[in-house]
Amino acid sequence: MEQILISGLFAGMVYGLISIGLSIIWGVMDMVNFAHSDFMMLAMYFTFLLFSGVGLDPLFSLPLVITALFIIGVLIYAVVIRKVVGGELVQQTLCTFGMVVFLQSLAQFLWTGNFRMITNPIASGSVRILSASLSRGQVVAGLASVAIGFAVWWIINKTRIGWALMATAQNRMSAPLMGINVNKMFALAWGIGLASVGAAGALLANFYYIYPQVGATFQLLALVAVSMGGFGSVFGAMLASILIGFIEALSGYFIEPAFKYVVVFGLYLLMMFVRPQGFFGTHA
Amino acid sequence: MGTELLESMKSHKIAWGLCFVLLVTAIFFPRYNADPFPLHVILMVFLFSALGTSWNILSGYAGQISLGQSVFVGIGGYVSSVLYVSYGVSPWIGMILGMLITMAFGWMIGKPCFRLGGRYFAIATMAIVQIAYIVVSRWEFVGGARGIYFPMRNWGWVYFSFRDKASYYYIALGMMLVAFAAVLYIEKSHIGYYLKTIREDPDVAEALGIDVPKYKMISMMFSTAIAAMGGTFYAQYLLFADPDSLFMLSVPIMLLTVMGGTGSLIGPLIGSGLLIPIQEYARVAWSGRGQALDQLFYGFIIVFIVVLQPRGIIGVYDSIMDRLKKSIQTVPRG
Repeated sequence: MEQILISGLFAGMVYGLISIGLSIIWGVMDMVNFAHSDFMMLAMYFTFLLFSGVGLDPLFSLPLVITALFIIGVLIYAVVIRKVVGGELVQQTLCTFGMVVFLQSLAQFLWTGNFRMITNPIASGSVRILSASLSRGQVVAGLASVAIGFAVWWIINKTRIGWALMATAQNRMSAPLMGINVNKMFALAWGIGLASVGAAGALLANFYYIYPQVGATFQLLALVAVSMGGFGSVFGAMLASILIGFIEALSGYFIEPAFKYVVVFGLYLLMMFVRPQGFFGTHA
Repeated sequence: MGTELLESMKSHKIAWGLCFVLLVTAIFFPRYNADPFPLHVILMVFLFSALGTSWNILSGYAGQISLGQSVFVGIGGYVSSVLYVSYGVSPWIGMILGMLITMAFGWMIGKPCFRLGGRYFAIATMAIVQIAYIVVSRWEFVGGARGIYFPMRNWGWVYFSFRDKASYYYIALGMMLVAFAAVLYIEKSHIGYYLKTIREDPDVAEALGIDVPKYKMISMMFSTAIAAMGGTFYAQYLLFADPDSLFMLSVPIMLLTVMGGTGSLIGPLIGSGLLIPIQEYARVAWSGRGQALDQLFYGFIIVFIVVLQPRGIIGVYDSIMDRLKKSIQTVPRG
């Protein structure tokens, strides 16, 4: 039992870091990035390539991957997303969904569909926590996710640039009147959003298989977490993700591992009936 | 509605004439063509423009983006297949039942989602297709991951199973026409105007007194029925139903509609007329090697179209015609 709860907790922490990025983009721009975890897949491949090419351990390539994903985020915003920000919902949704198809087949094309794994990173072996035994990679990933999640929370809630982001989220019409460059803020939201999901990818690469469709499940988990936690809320996204980690671990144990996502997504649909605005959201 | 249709036929004489010629060609094509492969390609074009139309009604007209349209295709296909293989029920009856069950399923999804913004609907459909895929793959009663294989002994109209492609060809053509008739009905009745208002601005629609959830639901009913019909056809044509062939069609369905033009009658036909032949011939030519490359190209095209011309090829055509008309009008005046 302890084993289940603790592994659920650590899985949830990593989901949290993925969800935070999604939540920021959603909150600031009022836009859902359906390709979010496919950027994570990209980050996982970057980590893998750095490891297999230069021999750099995932823990050391973490800052490089974060920087790379930040730049990719800003570029994607400047080249593609900027054109659809004011568009219809159909346009926004299809645009990021098109990226899903593009990124997955790009990975398939460049790196084939084979499952990759980083063998013997520094964070390998197992750790005991209470009576539970976890892989060291998982523990490092969970703790680092919380640390990075906290850093993002700090940037958004405690710095001037974070306040500017929040002001843009609240009202993109009046933010420019306060001297905020909305365009820059949107680019920053994409940068931070992808940087945090990139960090999650680099951390996951320590112990998770890497393949072109790896993002699919994470994407749904993150979307569910953000809708539960209320969009735009960093804290809510983290908390909802940890909850999802628990639910997933428990239902995997009590029902059947294959059905754990059925339970998670089913609960999400049920929640839409009851409290569509999420736990921490103010409006739907 | 009849008079309106007649008027629109008068004002678009050339377009309707062209449609008529195309239809006659399509009807007589199998008589003068013995090669099964072109028949296969064209019937796939028909099928996918019907499926594209089902997505188009919900997403293009009502603006409720379904990211899991194949869940409806899958349920329709599975209901008729299970009834046929396990209980010997004619697939035609299975098709009707499948359509009704899929509509009920669509109602269950739409009921909570349509009160919320469109993005929640998109996420919900994405989640539902995942759930359905996992459940069906694990459910032995419906064949699990292996799927259901049809016994190859009953042929003919009663069993919706044929040895020749021509019969499937005509059924697919008929289904496409049914789908188009549904869109035509929606476009010419008040439903079409309401749906367009809802798509452009749900708040405005509400303020005008449109019962927004009700009209979203109407589009859902049309959409699910057509998708389920296509699902039965696809299973009967393949002579098997498995999770990978029935639950993985969302992306191509969406892609070809976006490419042809969302929110327009012939958009899905243009899209599937372009993409399906490329896909089928490429599959024969490279037998799967080009898979990643063509997907890469498709993904790029979706983003490209959505960013530059959200209304697809139809939108490009319209803007060219507009410019032409303007230039014609300005010449004599100048």
